[in-house]
Amino acid sequence: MFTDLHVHSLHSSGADTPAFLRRLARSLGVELCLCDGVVHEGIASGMEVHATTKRELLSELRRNWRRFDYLLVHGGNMEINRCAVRDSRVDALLHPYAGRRDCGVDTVVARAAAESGVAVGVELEDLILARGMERVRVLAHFREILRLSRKYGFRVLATSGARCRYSLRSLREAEALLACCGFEREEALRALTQVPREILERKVRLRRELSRGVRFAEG
Amino acid sequence: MLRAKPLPASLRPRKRYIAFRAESDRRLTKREVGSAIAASALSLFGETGVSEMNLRLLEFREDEQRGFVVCAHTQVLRAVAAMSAVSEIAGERVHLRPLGVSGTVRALRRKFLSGEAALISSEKRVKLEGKDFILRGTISGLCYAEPVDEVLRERLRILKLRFVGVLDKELRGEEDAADAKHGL
Repeated sequence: MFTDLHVHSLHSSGADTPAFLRRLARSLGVELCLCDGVVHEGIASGMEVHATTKRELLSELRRNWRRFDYLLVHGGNMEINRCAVRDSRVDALLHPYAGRRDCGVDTVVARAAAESGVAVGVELEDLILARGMERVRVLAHFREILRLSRKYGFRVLATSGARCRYSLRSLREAEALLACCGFEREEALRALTQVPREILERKVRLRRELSRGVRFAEG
Repeated sequence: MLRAKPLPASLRPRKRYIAFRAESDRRLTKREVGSAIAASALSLFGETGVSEMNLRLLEFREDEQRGFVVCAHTQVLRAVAAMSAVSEIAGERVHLRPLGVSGTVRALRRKFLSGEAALISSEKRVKLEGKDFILRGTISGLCYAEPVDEVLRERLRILKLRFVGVLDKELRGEEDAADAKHGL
């Protein structure tokens, strides 16, 4: 099942209520997680951190990482991209290519992401809404991120980035769009299903810890 | 005029039919949908790619907003990608949502194009969490409401939408688990 970690509802910048989106997502076979910066009951809730400086990013992470089921960082600025992938409180760095000519992932970012386990996110909405040469650039960025991920072994996360009902995509559609950027079937399925599940399970595991590395024995 | 003799079955190109539903805040025409699919496929795969796909819109029922396209049997993934990449028609957000794939038109009609709930239009004034909306339509419990509030209307304008999506339960005051606690 496609677990979509980046969907906005009416509570942030979206156009539909969470209940509406949840019903629609269920009919599409998508597990919905809302990234509104608000804690929703019964739905995995996350936050997309927008920061312009390293200091601002760290302060946002400190303030919010225990509140939400996952934290995503809005990338683009190279300083933010590097800082985000080095911090294990971050679950994924989203669209590191935003507003850049390159894909925003260099060898430093790629190595750090592989070491810290922070996923690098590509957003289907960027591909769908872009036109002409802008879409060409987005496709090239997706390809480059995939190539570096194969080389350095960091995880790639794919999200819809939906702000309205018409942006939600089913697993089949998302897989077809990722195939346009050179994703093999297994790679696409990993980015759409396995990586988001790992992100959600990691936070559940961390919450059980009494202190770093110490948790109740199960069973 | 003399018609071409049909090819033997073994030499005919193999096809797949993909059923889809057009979702938008307004009723779309066959011409609009056909040109949107063609433009999207051309933009994603270029002329050579589309010639290999053999992608065509065969039918689109404007009353149900559903139809189907045909493509080469090896190009289903590309056809789905082309439909999925259609984001707007005439300045409004749309989505052509694939319903299923079949090898024959008869099977496609039976499996995916029969029995759909119809949209019920209305003009009712409703309240959601203290804000006024005008309910415009309901389909299978999913309601489309036009906000009266200017801030929300501006947000919808930016997103190229007309309506907010709400569940009928929410309008009846039965709170759905996720929404109970937050204001809009």
